[in-house]
This record gives sequence, structure tokens and C-alpha cells, in this order.
Amino acid sequence: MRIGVLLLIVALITRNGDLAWMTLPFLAFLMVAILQTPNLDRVSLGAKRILEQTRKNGSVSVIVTLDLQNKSPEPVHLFVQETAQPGMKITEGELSQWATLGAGESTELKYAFTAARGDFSWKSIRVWVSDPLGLIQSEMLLPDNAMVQVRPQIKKFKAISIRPRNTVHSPGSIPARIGSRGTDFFGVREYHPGDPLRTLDWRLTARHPRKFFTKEFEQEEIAEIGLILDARRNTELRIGEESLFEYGVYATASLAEMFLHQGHRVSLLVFGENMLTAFPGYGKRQLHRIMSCLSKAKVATENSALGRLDFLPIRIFPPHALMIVISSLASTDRSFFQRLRAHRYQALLVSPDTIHFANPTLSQDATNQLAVRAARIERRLRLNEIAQLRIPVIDWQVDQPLFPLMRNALTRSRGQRET
Amino acid sequence: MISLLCLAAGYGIAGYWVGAAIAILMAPAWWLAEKDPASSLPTVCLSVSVGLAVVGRLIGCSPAWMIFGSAAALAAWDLVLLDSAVGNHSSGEPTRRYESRHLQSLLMVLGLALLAIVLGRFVNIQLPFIVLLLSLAFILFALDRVWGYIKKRPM
Repeated sequence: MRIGVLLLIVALITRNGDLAWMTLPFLAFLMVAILQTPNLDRVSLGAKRILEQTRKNGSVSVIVTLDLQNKSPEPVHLFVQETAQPGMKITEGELSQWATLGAGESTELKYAFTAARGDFSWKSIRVWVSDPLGLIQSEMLLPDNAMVQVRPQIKKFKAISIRPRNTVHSPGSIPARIGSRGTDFFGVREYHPGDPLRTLDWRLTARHPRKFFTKEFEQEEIAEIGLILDARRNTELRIGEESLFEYGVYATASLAEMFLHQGHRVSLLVFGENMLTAFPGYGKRQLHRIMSCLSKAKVATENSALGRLDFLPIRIFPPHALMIVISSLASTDRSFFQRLRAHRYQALLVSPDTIHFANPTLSQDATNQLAVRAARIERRLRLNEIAQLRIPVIDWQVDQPLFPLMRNALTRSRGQRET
Repeated sequence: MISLLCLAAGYGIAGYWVGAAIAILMAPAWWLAEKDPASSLPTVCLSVSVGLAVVGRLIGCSPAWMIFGSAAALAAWDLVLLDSAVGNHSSGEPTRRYESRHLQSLLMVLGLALLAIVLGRFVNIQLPFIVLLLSLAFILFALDRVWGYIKKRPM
């Protein structure tokens, strides 16, 4: 419309009537828009957002349906627009729509997005009410709270029979080296009043007159497991759309699911810019808490003072827990593992291999090959330092399945033997 | 296209072939504007087309071609923006209805404006310059007030 005003001024300066007539279409355009602009006091819109989450072949798709209804007695011309949140990948549909709705009519805006994981929430629906020419638009925010959580992808591992040094006194699946009720034979002791008669060892009793003996079975208990996911900036590596951290999240989620499914007590700490914690718990609710934490987990945006694992509050984990640390490891992390051992935690390190992850993108010239070799040696030394603390280490090349490595490491870790 | 043809015809009839050539050279620019409506290209094309019409009239080209040319440029600008806004999802009934209402309004604007111009050119009124100046100031002030009121309305 600036063009129209400019034309009018030029017409006046040049005192040319034809130029003044030339402004008329522009002024008419503006006038028609002004005259047809709806009175906002009389505009009433209803809005509803419906979210539907589906999982196909491991990837999550969320279908968002916006339902807008014109509750005012006059027709309304509107423009509705949605904003894609970080992490969303729109796969279907459009994020905006122009529509003319008669009294009582409604329209639907539908789109679908995929996301690796995350919390997505909306507080309102943005609508612009306008004249039919779309020149004068007034924004309206229609309140509508909605939230959807996309949980990280998990791979269901088969049960691994772990042998931790300490167990929690609660019935479970791990032989606790305590004689009590169970299934596996543990030993024989002298009869105590109150022992069930069916546990009497009749053969031994027959050999010792005036004495009774009772068979004991090994008690089976659950384990206390703590998961630590490293989300520090200096241990993250992103190549294109792929992130090493996402593999860590996937591994943590899969391990948490496996241990909780076996009945163990599991806790989680995501160590990054904002620490996310799931305190020890069992069952499906705990799995929900852990998945919720993992879906919110983000890599720290910058290297902060908290960039050292030394600042990790390990005391939130119960004493003697089996700690599984998922970290690609920084050069200063050895002291943290020393501290873990000093606090008598049993530990296991799962370290996604950064060099193997980055290698395909590097050119294969002599200098690079030398650099990769040096980095490999440095990493090997770093892992050896941790292994020297009698902490089993899994050097995980993320394109390899994690389950066999975990099975080997966990079934051998009873006496803290080195891998 | 109609806008460019009008402008080219106006310049051509008056014998200004350079102007006609510039008007025809605007065709690729409008085509690019249609391809990338989110950029400022449609507005630039409209400004250049109107500028050509103004220059054409000032150097003595036929006023009818120039006025029709600038009005058609306004319509082209509006249609390019409309096409980009509804082009991807015009299958829905409410969107089709919006498109049709928009086109009706545009047709009404052009019809009324061109009718007023045709009728107005038969009326010959001599106004003193100061009256013209005051009228212009009044129009600009009124437009500014109306625009300000619309923008400040409560949401």
C-alpha cells in the first residue's frame, strides 16, 4: 500500500491527473480489505488438538489433527499456522492453512511428524483472522494444552543372568549365596525348631541318631543397578544427522528395560547441563520414569564447569549397586572411576567408540590414517586405565550389537574380573 | 502477463521501444516471483511495473494502457501471493471457499476501480493546488488513523 501512497504523492508533485487515477485500484484494494475486516469482538472460534502416536518398524510417528470451529454467526476468513518444534521432522501434511468458515462450520489441519525422542508440548493454537484479501490480519491465540512424549527406541534384550557381589533382600532371580527358601540346593544344617518337615534331610538324619538335619536352598534376590548416561558436550560426536549420544540413549533405554523386566531395582542419572534423575525403583512405573528422563535428555550446549565426571553425585545411588556407565570417555574421567571403586560400587563401563563412529567420514590419506591410529592408541590407553581399576570395559562400536558384549561382560563380572 | 502486455503496448504505440522491451523483460522476473513468492520479488515486480506505468505516462504514453497495466500488476501480485498461500492444500472445501472469496473480492476491487477511472476521466474538475494538497494530507491522515486502529485492536 506504500506504492499507492507514493503514487499519490508523485501525482501531486507532477500535478498529473492520470497518475492520481492510477492510485485508485490500490486505494480500492485497501478500502475493500478494511470494510471486510471482521469485528474481533464478534469472532468466536473453538479449537482442539488431537495427538495420535504410532510406532512402525521402530520409528515413532505422531499425527497431529487441529480441529477449528467457527462459533460466531458470521463467516470468518482465517489462517492457521503451526510451528515445527526442534527435533520434529514433518513427514506428511502442511503446517498452515487458509480457510473460510461459515457459521458453525469447522475445518481440520492434519500433519504427521517423526522424532527420535523428546517431549513436545503446545499451549495454544495460533490463528490469524483476516479479510478475504488477506491484507489485514489479527492474531488470536486459542488456548489448548497438549503434550506428547516420544520415547527413545529400545531393543529388547534377552535376560542376562548377572552375578553382582551384593543383592537387595527381595525375592528375585539372582542367587544370593544365602541359605533359605529357593530352588537350588545350598547346603545342610542342623534342624531348628520351626523348619518345615519336608526340608529334613532324612539320609543324614538316619546316619546321626538323636540329631535332625535340614536341607537349605539358595535364596534368590534382585540386584541394585545404577545407570549413568554421559551427556557432556566434550563426549558427544555428531556427524550429519547421526549423533553418538543417541546411541548412548538407545543403549541406556534397552538396558533399563532388560533389568526392570528381570525384576531388578534400577536408577538412572543423565549427567549433562541439566541432570536428570530417576531414583531407584522397580517395575513398569520405573521404566516409565526412566524413559521420560531419557526422552528429555539433551547434550550440554557448551563445556561447563560441570564438564568433569568428578562432579557427579554418586551418592544418589544405593551403596554396593552395580553401576553401568555409558560414556565415550574424556581424558579426565579416570578419577571418577577411582572414586566409584573407593565407594565400593561394582562398575561396568560401556564406551561407544568415537573413532570408529567418525572414521567413515574421514578421508583416507596418509596424514589422516596416522591421526586415526594415534587417536586409537590414546583411546586404548584410556580404556586400559579404567580396566586397571578392575572395572570391566565394553569398547562398543555402535554399528555392532550391544547385547553379546553386555552378556559377556556381565556374566563375567562377579568377581570384578577384567575384560 | 496482461499487465506486461498493456505496458508494452502503451510504450510501443507511443514509439518508446526501449520501454516496451523493458516491459517484456519483466516477464521472467514475474515468473521467478511466482516460483519464489516468499521472497520480496513479487513486491519488487509490482513496484517496477507501477514505476514503468508512471514513467510511461509522464513521457506521454497512452494513459489507458498505463492505468490498466498498473491495475493488472496489482492483480498479478495478489494472485502470486494467493497461489503461494493456498497452492499446496487447495483440496479442502474451506480453503477452496477462501480462494473463491478472495478472487471475488479482487474482481470487485478491480471492477470498481476501473469503472470509477473510466467514469472519472469524463469529469473535468479544476482544483486549486492548495485544495489538492490538503485533500492528499487528509487522505493520508485518514488512512494512517484507520490502519493504526486496525493494528491496535485487542486480540
